[in-house]
Amino acid sequence: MDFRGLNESGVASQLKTLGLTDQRQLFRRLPQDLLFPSFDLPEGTSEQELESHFRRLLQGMTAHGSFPPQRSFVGGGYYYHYIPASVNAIGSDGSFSTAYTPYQAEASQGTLQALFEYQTYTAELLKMDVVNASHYDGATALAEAIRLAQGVHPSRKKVLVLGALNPEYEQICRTYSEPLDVEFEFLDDFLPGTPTFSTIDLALFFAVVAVTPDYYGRVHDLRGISQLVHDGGALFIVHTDPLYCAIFEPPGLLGADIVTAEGQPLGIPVSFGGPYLGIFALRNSLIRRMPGRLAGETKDSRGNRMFVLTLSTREQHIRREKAASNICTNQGLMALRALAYMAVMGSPGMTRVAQACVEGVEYFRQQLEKIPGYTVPSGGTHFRELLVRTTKPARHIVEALKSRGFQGGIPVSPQEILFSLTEVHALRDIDDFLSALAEVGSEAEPSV
Amino acid sequence: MKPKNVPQTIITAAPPLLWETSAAPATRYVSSDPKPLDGTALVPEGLGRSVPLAFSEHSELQVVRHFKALSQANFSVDRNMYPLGSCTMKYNPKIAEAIASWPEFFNAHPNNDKSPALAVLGELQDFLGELTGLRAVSLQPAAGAQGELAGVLIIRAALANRGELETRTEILIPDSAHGTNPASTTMAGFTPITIKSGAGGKITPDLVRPFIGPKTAGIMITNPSTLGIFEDSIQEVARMVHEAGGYVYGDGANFNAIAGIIKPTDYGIDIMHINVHKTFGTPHGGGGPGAGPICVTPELAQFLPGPILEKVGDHYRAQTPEKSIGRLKTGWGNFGVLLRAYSYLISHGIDGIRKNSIQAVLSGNYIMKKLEKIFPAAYPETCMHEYVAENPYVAGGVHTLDIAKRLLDFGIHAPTVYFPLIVKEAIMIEPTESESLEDLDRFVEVMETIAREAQENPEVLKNAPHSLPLGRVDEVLANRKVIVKHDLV
Amino acid sequence: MEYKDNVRYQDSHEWARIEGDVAVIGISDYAQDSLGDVVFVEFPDLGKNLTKGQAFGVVESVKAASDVFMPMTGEIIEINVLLKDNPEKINQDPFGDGWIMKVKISQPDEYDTLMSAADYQEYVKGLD
Repeated sequence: MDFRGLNESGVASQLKTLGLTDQRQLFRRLPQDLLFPSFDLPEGTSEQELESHFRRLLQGMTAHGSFPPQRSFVGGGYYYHYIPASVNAIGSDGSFSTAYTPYQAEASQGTLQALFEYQTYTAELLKMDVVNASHYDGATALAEAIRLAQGVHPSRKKVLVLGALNPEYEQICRTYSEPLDVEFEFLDDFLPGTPTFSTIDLALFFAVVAVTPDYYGRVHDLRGISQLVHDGGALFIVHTDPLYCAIFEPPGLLGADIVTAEGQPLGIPVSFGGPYLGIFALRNSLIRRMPGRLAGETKDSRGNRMFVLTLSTREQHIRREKAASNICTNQGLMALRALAYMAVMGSPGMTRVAQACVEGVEYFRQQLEKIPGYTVPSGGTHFRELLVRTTKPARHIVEALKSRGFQGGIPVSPQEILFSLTEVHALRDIDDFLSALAEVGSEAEPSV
Repeated sequence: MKPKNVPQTIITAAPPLLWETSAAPATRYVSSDPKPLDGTALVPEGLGRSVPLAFSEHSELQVVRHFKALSQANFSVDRNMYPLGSCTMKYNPKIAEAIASWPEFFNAHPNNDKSPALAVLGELQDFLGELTGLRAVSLQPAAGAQGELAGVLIIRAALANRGELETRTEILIPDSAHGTNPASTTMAGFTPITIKSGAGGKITPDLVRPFIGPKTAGIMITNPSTLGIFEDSIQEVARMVHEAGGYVYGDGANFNAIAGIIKPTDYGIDIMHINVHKTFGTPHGGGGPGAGPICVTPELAQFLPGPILEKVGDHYRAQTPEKSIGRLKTGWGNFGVLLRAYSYLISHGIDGIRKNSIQAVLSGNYIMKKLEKIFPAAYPETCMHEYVAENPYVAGGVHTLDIAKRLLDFGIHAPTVYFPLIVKEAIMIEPTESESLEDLDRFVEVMETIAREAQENPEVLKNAPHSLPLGRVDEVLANRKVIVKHDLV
Repeated sequence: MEYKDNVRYQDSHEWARIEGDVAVIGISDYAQDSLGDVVFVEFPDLGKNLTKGQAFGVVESVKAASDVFMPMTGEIIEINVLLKDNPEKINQDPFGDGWIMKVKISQPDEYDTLMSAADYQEYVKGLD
């Protein structure tokens, strides 16, 4: 199966126009001895066969190849949230998905206005001055934010991370920062005034990154931190979550210079980890260092309002080796989905989902603490996630949950599991899961 | 004379902004389902949002109409031809969209090591390895540019492994390259050295030789080049770089012209990224998401970004190479995009991929031939899937931008313009294999009309577009008075 | 195209005009014309010492960002704040209101190494 636009007579007519007799003559300037090698690859299929191919692949999957969201209590940076049908409908509209990057503004007002609306809504959520038209994902957005901050203070090489950072994010930040010789330091206990924090000489750091909610779902109190960070001359980066900002104080009101977040919770499917949406925001004074595309408002030649990509001289296609970043493609369609999600949910819907992410975890904690074999190491408010200590090996518990039909958390250490709860989990689902945890906790350990 | 088949209404005007739309009660999407809790305050004192979230509220119908109106204010492949060089706006099969929405994929969690998604990724790795001849493949990179960054970081890691990172600091890049090449090079800590293309728009051993030496870390070559020309000195240039101890990076942006026809590894490429939206028909999405798998020689496999899939018996197991440059992306890369690419590859098979490449090159040459009198190639020789035209009408005050905007009036998207930088007022045309002979001929007709207007009535071009809802954009205003959001209250 | 003869030029298209021990610096009419509508000027920090040939800032149009280089060595003592909100002054009046900055020069002899208006005009002719 292929999708070429020409049949044999069309091809013949093209060849005639070109004065050629054989299509192979088109490749006469290529190394002749290397042309048309053999490939150990299958021939094509019909669409029907393609579908069967995928069905066979699914039939071949083992018992635990797929779980419904309400039976999945696993997060770790990939979250199950309810996605309204209208968001899927809007996100799969070919007039958006098959459109090109909106370089020709007159022919791309749909995409451009949607990006401008996304920037506006996300800026309101985070209370920041500028949000770009999207980045690859939350982790790469944070990695680029760290690079940006280092560029502001080229003589400083250290970055301090407050709160537990997702280990995958940390790896990505290190990959991006390696050529800059950046040194990472981590601090978990950083309430203003605690001794650990006050002994750190912030003047050595180009940036402080606070993570809230953090990898373990802990909500951190960031009041007063920006003052300390700015006194040390460093930039204050906050990595957060968009739904969290619907009910908790947004980073823009806590003195953040740069904010990054994973936008996947805003109507984007888990989809085995991507494509997602990197949210990247900063203060106006840093706008010319912003990586990635920006939609801006302007006028047409007749004075009508219109939108266009702006401040392009920051970008690689113009500035080349001096560009703010090498990023070209972004996540336009994912930004569109996020906008559609925020648009249908409105403030009440966003608030409701965010509250459910606190309530669910709190209920789960209160009930789980009654079950022998499980303890919760950290107190305080949690958002969407909870780290639980287990007396039995974490891997055994997660495997045993699978055979009860639950995708049950990430074993982050031999005796710790990270669980995730959102609005997709009704009270009944959580109670079922708690029963399964109780059973798993009381049964004899499998001899693996 | 107007060409045939100009649509009556090409696109319609964009709607008011969301927050300029009247308010209505928002639809309820999630259940209230309160949890019986022991009294604790959910949001502790002082940590709550101190200002209300000021999103506007609308009914679902209002929102759906809003986005429908936005979508009709857009050009898209589903409605319009995009002869857009370098960007390959080919048809995006609907079946790939349908399969990506199957719950087994849509809801798959990346931590599930039993997910069928792993088999998709594993088979895709193998497919790409065979197609490029570069058998070690990582699907991590989220886009072509990130694939490039991965590739240059692999060169960095390989040099560090040889103890030569301190001395080898330069990466050679032809002046016709995409801006991402020098930008990725800088990000990875190397110095880009620009090589001026020769008289034929190509690089030659003589042009490269003076820049090769003990400082050479590698070279980045787009082949076919952004001029749509196959670099016929590639084997010799690669040999020179290898002899000097450097690596050869192949920018796979134009792989769609040669996939199934020649293996990049056979002409000396060590590392190559693939833009799956160009070669394997994944939707452009109005600017993403993409995916940029990176393929390398077995020697460089140890540096690939992980995780990589390895076939053990009948299933795939993940592992990260010991000397990996590290992670670049959470999870497994942009799975949803990779799934569409996989579906494209399986349905096409090697025969379909080869036919696509041949047709793309045939149609590229067809358009170049048909336009040779009015938009002659900057470097006339058999092109590949695209060609770069000069603008012969500059002397009369008609700039390439004017031609681009005038094309929009006929419902055809503008070609890539002012790129590559080595051709002044460049017009880069790539018809792709998807367009029918009728649509190709219609494009030629429209270009003939525009060429005539350029000579007889240049004002029509300078003030274009005329038949779209909006006139020409004021980019200067957008850059002088920067407005990137509204304040919602 | 204007080639003012009360200033001298260097090959990267900046001009300098001497006022006592201060050089006023801007870009030529040719430079602003080839750049197109200027939308932004990135200035150096006041008090910074830069040598002839060093980049001191960037002049941007919509589609291009052009580094600008010191025609003479010295300390930056004043920048043209008018350009912050009115970068178009560089297009409208490159030798007057569109000046970019003032430098306290430390090598006055460098002025003689710059091109006269006639030489610069000849040089520009050779570029196209």
